[in-house]
Amino acid sequence: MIRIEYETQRLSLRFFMVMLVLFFLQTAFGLLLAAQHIDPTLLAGTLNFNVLRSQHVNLAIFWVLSGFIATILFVGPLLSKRELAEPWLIKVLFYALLAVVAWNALTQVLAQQGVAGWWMGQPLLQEGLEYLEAGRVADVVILIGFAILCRVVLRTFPPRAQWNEIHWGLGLGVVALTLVWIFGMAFVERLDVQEYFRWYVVHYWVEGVWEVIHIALVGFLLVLMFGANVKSVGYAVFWGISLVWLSGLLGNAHHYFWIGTPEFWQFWGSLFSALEPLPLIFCFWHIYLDAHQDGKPVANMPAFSFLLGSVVLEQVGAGILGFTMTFALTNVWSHGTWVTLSHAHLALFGTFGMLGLAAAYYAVPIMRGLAAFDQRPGRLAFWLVFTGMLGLGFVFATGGTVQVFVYRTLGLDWFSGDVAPAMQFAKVSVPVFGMVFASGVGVLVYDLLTMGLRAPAAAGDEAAAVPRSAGWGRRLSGWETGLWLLAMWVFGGIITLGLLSFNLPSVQQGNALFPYLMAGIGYPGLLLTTLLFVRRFLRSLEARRHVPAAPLVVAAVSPAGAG
Amino acid sequence: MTAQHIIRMALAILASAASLALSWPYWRDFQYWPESRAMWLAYFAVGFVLAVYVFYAFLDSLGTLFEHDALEREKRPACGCGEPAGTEDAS
Amino acid sequence: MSCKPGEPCHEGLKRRRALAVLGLMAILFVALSAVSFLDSRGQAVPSQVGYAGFDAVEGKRVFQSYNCMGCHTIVGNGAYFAPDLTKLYDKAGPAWLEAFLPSAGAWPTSGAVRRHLQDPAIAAEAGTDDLDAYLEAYPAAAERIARRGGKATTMPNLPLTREEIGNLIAFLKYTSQMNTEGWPPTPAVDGLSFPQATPLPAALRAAATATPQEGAAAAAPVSAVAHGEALAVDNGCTACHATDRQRLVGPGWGGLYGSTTTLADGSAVAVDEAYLTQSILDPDAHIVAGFEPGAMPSFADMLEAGEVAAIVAFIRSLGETKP
Repeated sequence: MIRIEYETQRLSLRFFMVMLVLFFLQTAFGLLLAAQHIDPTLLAGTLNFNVLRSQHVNLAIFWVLSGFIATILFVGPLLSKRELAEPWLIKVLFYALLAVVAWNALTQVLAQQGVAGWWMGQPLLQEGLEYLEAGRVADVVILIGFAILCRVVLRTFPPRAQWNEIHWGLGLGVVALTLVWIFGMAFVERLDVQEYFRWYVVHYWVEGVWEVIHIALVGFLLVLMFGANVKSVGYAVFWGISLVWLSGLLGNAHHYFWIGTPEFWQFWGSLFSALEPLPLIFCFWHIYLDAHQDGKPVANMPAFSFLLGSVVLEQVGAGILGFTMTFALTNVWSHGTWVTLSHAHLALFGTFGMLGLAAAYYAVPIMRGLAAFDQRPGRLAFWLVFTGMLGLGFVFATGGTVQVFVYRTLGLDWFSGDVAPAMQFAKVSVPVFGMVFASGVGVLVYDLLTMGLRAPAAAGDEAAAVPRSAGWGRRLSGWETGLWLLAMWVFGGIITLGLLSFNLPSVQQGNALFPYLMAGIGYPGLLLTTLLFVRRFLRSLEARRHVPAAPLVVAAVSPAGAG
Repeated sequence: MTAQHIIRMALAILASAASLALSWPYWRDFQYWPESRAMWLAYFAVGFVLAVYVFYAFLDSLGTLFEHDALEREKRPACGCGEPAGTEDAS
Repeated sequence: MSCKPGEPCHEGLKRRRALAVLGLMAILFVALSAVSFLDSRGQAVPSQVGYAGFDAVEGKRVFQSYNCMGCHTIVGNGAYFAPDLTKLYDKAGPAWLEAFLPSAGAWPTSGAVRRHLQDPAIAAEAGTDDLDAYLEAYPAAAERIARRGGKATTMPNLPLTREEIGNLIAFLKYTSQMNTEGWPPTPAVDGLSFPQATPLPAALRAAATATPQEGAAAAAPVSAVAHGEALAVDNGCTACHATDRQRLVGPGWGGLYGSTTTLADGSAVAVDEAYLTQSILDPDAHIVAGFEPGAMPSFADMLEAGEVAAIVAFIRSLGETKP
């Protein structure tokens, strides 16, 4: 696809642009947080850590949602083979999004004065709950926004009888997105009940609804990029979604270990969240197979890089790192420490953020009417954000392991006196990788914002940069992919053993050698394997360009030779 | 039951058993009636069966995904597009 | 496209089965949730927890209003910038929290905690009005006072009112009564004996091993101002009063002596030795405009007349406004 087919697809462009701006701001807040971790007095009293953090977290949610909305609006007409219904509502949605982002950013600052705007027992302005910091006013606007999205999507889709699995996935996804949000819209007196319902929103969004939207959109982008068969993609979407819910529905219980809910949740949550990587492994193989159906060169490498990054980081961040800390026996140590940060950053940015960026790299050139564009900034940006994020995952995880030992095993709870000094190396490393990440963000935001508007760069000799189809560029076979995946899981197993070892009497007596050793092998091993695997995967795809004129010739010759 | 079914079932049972072993509750005091010994046994049994089912469904659908891929390859005009002739593919 | 051509196809059945199992899981989840919050489980409930006449539910509102979770964690959820608060009440006790929260920018000293133990309501909640007994009952308070007392924290001062502080402590009392199923795990060792712990201040270590002779030598005469400064720190005065003109919880001391201040009733009063002495012994006798009565406790039972005079001398040393 080189040109848009339906005029209303253009409505997605503005959401992509907002996504990029919010992503940039979120990254900037992240760097400020890293600086405050090193010097807690920085901006104290002006912009306290909790305010910056709520901006960082809320912007993440807003830009991921912007990316979802944009992608859904872009593919909606293609899926339905007609224009979007009620485009004026989408314009309303756009201004509502801008308004609610600005409103929420302003109201979060009130936490410094302890002002929540209580009215009829509800906090109107901000409510100080992690991920649900938005006050009730913003909540209602967001709910209306979701309802608009539901209405547009469902009215655009063909009659129910003609739905395939992708329609079902997206349709259920947007409806569930709206319904689950409602559980976060009440003040709850009991802390255990409040946390119980808060995870309805956070877990069922991330591991239920977002995952479903993710699978459906990845599936359809594969259809668009590789001309994959809609029916077999539909099969993968159905079972991907089913496995997400078969594991994630009860898997939500991994949030109910220590919040004051009964201990039987420890069993249910451990067992079923151990199964949560299954749909991710499934989805990973799906993208591998579709990308290798034929050996055609990939037209849009930045878009595919981010799509691959999304599925791989989902596998590593959500799947493997999530697995390591999902058992009651490991979570009792990792809970409430930096160890969870590595999982959260890789999973959230990786899975959902990179999907939005992949869609942007796919859609923006088309909407700007570019038959071809300079792909070098996009590829550079991918490697910067990908490496930066893996590095962040590494320092969060190793810092977290030290934190578990000092804070939980030794029971030292003076953060500025004991815990932070012990974590100093990790704390200082965060902005280092953060700068790598942020420079990638800068490149990609500039690239996408100005794509087609700035003077085209001198057409680089791209062919010269194509890797040889040998060594790292040779074809990636299924067996080799399986070995890479296995290596990642072996390192995941080592990490799990390291976290389990905090239960050993010798570690509890103050000997940190074993957990430190396991973390020291497991985390760098996992993240380097991931980095090299993605390099290997992308190299092999880039090498396909090596024979630009070949397809015709080979196709004519091969019927005899292929077999 | 074909051999493939038996292998998948065996894998699912093994994996579920391993998951079950890792899922041992950190804390059990049997004080609250839904956490009596009988209830715990019921949880372990039901949880195990459900886990086996999910693993089996995963293996089954993953297998089908590969079968699809093989079918698609057959259907496509056989094409070595972009594949360098010879080298490792020949092996 | 889900079946091989020419083979029996069970895809429809498989999909229906998956959805049926999913339905079963949903029922299971609802059933487990339904028994999770039964009264018979005996889980603590905020509406039944009171603290010195304050309300834990209102405390939860305070906790959310200041977005405490944005730095701290509670039941392990939140940010990871500051310690978990779930069991803090149990460990450090109400008097330490009362001493800490009004001026979170500095760690409370033993004097500040002792001062709050004078309040019968707090002493009743703590179970003792004696500092030594308190520190024994709440070892985390003892550890905090010994290692951190008087030092700056990394927490910003928050504009908490008296009411909010009481409610917040009630909320923390509620969370520390919650059954969190063995989390956080109890350490098996004394972390303070490990090199990762910041050692005690040198002076304290010396005091712990000091011989009586050295103790006597240390009691050599010191100036009234230095004595007053030590007393002001030890009694937690400087947690609420800055030594410059800055307003913390109470008025700053810099340039205070000799100035004329306006009281809540509109009258003006000269800040002299008599006024300051009375303000320390009976703080509610005169309330400066813009401040609330009851914020500062009386030190009449805690300081000797000479000690009060030393503190006044220290305040005077911080800059005198010539009339």
